[in-house]
Amino acid sequence: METLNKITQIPFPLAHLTRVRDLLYFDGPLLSLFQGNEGEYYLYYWCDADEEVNRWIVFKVESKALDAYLLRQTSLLQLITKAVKQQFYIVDLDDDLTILHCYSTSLKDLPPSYLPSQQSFYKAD
Amino acid sequence: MPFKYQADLPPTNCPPANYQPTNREAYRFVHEDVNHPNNFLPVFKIKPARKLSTTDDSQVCKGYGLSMFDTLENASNRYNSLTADNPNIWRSIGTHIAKGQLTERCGVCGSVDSRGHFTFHEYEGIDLVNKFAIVLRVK
Repeated sequence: METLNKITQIPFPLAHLTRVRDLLYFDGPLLSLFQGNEGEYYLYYWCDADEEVNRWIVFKVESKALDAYLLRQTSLLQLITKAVKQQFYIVDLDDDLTILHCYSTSLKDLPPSYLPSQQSFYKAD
Repeated sequence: MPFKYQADLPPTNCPPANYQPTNREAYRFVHEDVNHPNNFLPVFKIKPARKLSTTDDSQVCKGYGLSMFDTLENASNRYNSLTADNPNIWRSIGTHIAKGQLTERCGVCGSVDSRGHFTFHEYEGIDLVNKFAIVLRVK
């Protein structure tokens, strides 16, 4: 698993989110849509794993930006770069879905391998 | 005939009623080490499982099936697509494609989707490790 640099460990502030559905799935979710109490949208984007945890990047998106991605007008990479306030949480979940670590970070401090390619356009299953 | 992970399956509609025994060639993503313990484990048996819910029965049922493809080309195309979306997916699903022959004695499979993917549920006592061999490195 990638080593995280310049990243602050914090309590996860978004534990209240409700899962809506998986947008990308292969042998488990890869991109899942969640909603907050006010109906705002968040994404859980899988980015890494080791023997202990799966690592997800959690971020808020505007409804219009999400629609553009689902309509294949923009890529997943573009959707990530348009995250609200450029605020990203990296969350390590174990097999029981317990959060072992949560880090707050910005786009520029995400490891390059944690970002999708420019060809990451939505493909509905 | 009971399924390999029968005790873990949701009590109804799993596998779905349209899943049938089959004789067909199949392709699956595997790790380079042919004896890697995760090569023929369904996602819900891999620790830690890549999941975000444990209560959605359709997810749970799929989570105890094995992903397969109908052709090498479809498997390779899907691997490239998965890598575009999630560059580290190789850590989860492996770096190679293996080919095998499924028979009616092995289990049941669902319909093949537009990208050549189908889900396979093994019968109890079946071990697919010796029925598959690596045919292509994809990373």
